[in-house]
Amino acid sequence: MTSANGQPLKIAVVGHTNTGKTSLMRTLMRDVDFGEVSNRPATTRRVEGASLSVGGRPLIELYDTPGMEDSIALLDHLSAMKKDRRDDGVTVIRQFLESPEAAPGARFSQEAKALKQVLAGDLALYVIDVRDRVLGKHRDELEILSWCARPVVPVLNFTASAEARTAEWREHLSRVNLHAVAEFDTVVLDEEGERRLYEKMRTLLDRHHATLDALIEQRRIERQQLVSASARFVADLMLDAAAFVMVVPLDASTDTTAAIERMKQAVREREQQCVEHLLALHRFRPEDCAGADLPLSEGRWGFDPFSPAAVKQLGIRTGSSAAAGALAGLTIDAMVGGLSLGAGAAIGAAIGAVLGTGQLHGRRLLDRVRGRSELRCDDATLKLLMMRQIWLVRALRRRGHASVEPIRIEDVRERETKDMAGRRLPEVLDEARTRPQWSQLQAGPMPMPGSLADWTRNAALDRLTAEVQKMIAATPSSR
Amino acid sequence: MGQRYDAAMSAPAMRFDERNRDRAIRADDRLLAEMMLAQLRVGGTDINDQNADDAARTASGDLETRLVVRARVVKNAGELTEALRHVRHVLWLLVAIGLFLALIAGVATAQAVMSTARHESVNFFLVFGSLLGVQTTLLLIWLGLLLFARGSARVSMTAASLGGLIMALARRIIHWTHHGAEHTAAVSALSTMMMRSSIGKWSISAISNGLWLAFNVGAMVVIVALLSARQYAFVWETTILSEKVYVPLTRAIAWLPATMGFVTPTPEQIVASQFIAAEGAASQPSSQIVAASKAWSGLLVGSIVVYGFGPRLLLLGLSLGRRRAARSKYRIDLSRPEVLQLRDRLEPPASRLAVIDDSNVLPRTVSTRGMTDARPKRPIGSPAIVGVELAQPPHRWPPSIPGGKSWNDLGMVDRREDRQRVMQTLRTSQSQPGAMVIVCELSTTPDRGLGHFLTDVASVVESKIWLILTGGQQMRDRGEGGDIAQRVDDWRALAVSAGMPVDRVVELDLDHLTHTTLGVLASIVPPGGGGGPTNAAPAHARRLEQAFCLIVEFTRRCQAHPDSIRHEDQATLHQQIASLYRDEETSWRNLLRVPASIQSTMAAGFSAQMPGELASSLKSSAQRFASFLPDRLKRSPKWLAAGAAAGALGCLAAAALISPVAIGALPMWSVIGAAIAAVVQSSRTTTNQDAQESASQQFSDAVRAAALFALILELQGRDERTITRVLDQAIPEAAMNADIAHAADVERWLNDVHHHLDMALAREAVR
Repeated sequence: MTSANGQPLKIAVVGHTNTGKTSLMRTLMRDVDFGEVSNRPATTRRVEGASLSVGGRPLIELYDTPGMEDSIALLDHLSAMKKDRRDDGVTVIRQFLESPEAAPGARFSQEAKALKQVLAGDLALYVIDVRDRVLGKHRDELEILSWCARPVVPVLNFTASAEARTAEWREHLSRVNLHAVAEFDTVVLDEEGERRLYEKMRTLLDRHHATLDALIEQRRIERQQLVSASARFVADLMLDAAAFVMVVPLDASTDTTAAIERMKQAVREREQQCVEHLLALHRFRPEDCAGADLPLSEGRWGFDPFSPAAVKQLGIRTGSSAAAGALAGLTIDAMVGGLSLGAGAAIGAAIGAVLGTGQLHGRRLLDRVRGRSELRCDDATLKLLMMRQIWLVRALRRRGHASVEPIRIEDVRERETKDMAGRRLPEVLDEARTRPQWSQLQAGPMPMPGSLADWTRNAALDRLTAEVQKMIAATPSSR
Repeated sequence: MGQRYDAAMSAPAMRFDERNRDRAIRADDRLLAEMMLAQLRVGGTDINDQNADDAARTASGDLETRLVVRARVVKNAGELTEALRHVRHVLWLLVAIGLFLALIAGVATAQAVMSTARHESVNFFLVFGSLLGVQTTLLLIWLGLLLFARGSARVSMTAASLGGLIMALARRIIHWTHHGAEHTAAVSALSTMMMRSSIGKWSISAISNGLWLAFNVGAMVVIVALLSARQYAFVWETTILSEKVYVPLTRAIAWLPATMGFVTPTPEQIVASQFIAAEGAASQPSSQIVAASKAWSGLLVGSIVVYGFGPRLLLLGLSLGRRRAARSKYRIDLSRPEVLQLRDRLEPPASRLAVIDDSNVLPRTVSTRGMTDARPKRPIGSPAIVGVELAQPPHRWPPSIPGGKSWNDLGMVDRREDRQRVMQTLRTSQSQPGAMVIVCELSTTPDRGLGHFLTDVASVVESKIWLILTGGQQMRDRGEGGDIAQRVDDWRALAVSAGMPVDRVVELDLDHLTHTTLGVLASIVPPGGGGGPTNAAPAHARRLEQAFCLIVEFTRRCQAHPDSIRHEDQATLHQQIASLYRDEETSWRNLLRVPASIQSTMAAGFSAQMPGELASSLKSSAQRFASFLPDRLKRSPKWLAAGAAAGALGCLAAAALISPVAIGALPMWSVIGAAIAAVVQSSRTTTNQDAQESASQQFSDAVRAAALFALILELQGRDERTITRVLDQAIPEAAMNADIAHAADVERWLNDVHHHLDMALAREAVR
């Protein structure tokens, strides 16, 4: 799988200062801690390498270099060195690297570090902030790179920006004979973009064809696995929340609020746990996700068909005494409203008397006779939980590892919200409602591994995972 | 050399190793790995096991191999193996007991159906149905479910079979007898393995079929024994059916055993075997009866073999075979979260390499300022402006200057050629630009290349160079608004490294010019050609800013004649400042307690002598003014003197405002000095310094006094304590002790004070 001579493919990441070289490294490495990233010049002042591996075997070595800052002067200097017209660029650059001007602390020391890596490597990635115009300094940088006689793949960064001058850059690059241009926004991770970047590199590096193929394939598999693992976390959370039931004696009314609070707290913590798992899975740190307090609905009294008070309450809360079927729409509206307000309070009181399956009514009847009632999360809460997690997964998939801004869960976009709110809850969750033993939040002994409850839960988990996976992939990830 | 040798050798060696390992990894290894994963899933173990990680990382092979290697050396590997062994023991024990019980059941059933009173005939179909009916029905159901059932039906089917029963029992027993996390993990891993592949299905069906096989063995042994030792007569009975049903039925049952070589009854024998009470036995010769019984018993044994024993044996073999295949085909599901979690540790997709070229020394742009070649001084021309690397040049280029002056537009600099052109123009032009304004964008990252350009410009331009940073809005649009302060600082650093003073870097959005920014722009561009009004500040600027501009103007003029500062000039400055606040004249006159009598004094003219009245009113104003100072400043003689001077001069300015006199012509400056001295001395016990102050001290004293005057006029209308409090904040420790020796210092110092005043006022507004 390694290249022809067994050496890893060496790539120098170069570019003007503050164009996102270290960001590109971070995103390709999926490592939020690599190097240092800031919106300042000369953040990276040394050459730091990293290797990309497939199956634990390093295939590619990437070298992050300091930004070139004074290319205009450097090109003047190099041109002056090129006394003989027959001298080729590489010779001049090698001479330059030997000269005192390239020594540490000298005038061109930073540029020299970058050029040294270009010469040592098989290929150079030239990172461009496409929000910049094509300026003289860029032209000169490209000119100097062309002297190095190494294949160059220009990487257009910040293509997602409104100011992006992608066309202008592409035109100029093609004029200097650079056609294998990759668009790769390091902040907004585009899965296609990464693959195309490797493909562009592959077209210029015939010898390393197999290496890059292996890497592309590996990244594809990893992405798939990431999605299915994420879906599994979400499905697990959903089963736990949907199956969670708390039985409260009807007479002890003082206990209720405490019970509701306990329940809410348990679900909140469970969601937080899921969020942490998802972040860790995508190799982000917990502080990358600033979460709002979970807008849980009241883990209200089980919808008791015999209690006029509950029905009345429904009527008041929804502003209509329509049948449960009609309520579903209202619940969703309330939920969407609450989300766009960014506050859970609006949902807090929202009804959610939708779960009216026959089985549940039967259970309730029985409970009523026994003089107790059940508390469980309502549909609105479940939908909300699922939507938020799916949204989070989508956001994480899109997020480059160079992003500095934290994700905010309140920022759920309206369209996505509506898109999901319009759907029914997966049937598996209806089934889960009737199986308290599926919930890990349930007090009491867990279902024994291998027991029937465990088996059925696992089967349900598989089904739900598949469904969630579909939902994650459903909306196009591009904005 | 060694490295190359390694590289050449390692590839084939690795492949060989891999193949070996692949063979070495067995289902049991995977089971162990599943146990490790099960423990991770429930958080039962700490994932941090450096030893295990290292071992797994160095192992060659794929991720699964690494997982297996890790499971073998993980901290509790011994306990895991032990637990797995326990679980297996329990399972095997239960299977053995089950087999024994099934055997007993077979024996018992056979005995029950064959036990009849002596010389009574045995109903063949009852025996056949009892022994084979139930199990065949179950077998058919099982087959049907196996072929057609999906999802949870299949799960419950397998769980509800005999094998499932044994499994469930085993689980319970484990649960009762062992409580360790490792045992839970073992059960969990086993069930994972069974659920995720067909291993579970085939294991359960192997157990079920094994049990039935035992049952059949038991039954057959008993039947063969009984048939050998006793004489049975087989009959069939019916009440409503005829022999037309029984003969084909029997033949159909008998077909398979017959082909296998068992003796089966002929149609005549079948017809003859119908049970007809009492007479039947007598009507046939005994030899025929014996032959028929033999044939029936052959059919019975053959049926058990073909319909009971055989299928179960076959299915047992099939189940075991499929189970074996499934086990060897089993692979750990690598997309599970806990595996991905481990993969990051065992097969990191990227790892960091060493740092190369670790020298953090940044090259410095060498300042060439001051190295300007000694050329004859050129006349001052109009201010020059140049835009450098502007992505979005301002809508109006060049920006208009208030006051109607015109720019010498040097255009845009994007490329080397542009730089050369600008440098050429600057070098060869006949006149020196009145000011050199370089416009850059905030969104441009200041780099050494730009620093280089700044240095170059500085080397040919002797006048002030200003760096205007425009496009702040663009930066905010990018969502980088928070970075602006940092960016400005970076530009400042670059400017300083190019030899420019820090305060020449101005953030100014040329596309969104406000009155204030226009004022700043105007202050940047000096009066062209040396003429123009001194009051360059635009009328709409805040009065305090205008006052400060006046102070700056004043200091510039002083700088030209630094020998001494005359009180007359100072008084004129104060008068100018006071005239800015003409509207609130009464208010601040009250504040300063300027006596009304001073008017008459002034009007009377005091050219000849110094009226005591004037002296006393000046002194009271000076005292009054000094009292506004916060204690901190009062303790500083410099500031006390400044306060007193401001008061005295202010009093005079007020008087001059009311009855306009050429204030500069008033020959009573020693009075002021006396008034100041009185105030200062009243608070100090010793006066060690006389009027013999150095020029620079006089200079800074004048600035402080004027600034204080302007500040207090700006703050009028508030109560005295507020004024004192705001002053305290507006002149922080640094500004208080700052040395103001040059005009450039004055500007920075005033900016600083202004800044702190704004903050103090903002705080005041919140109060």
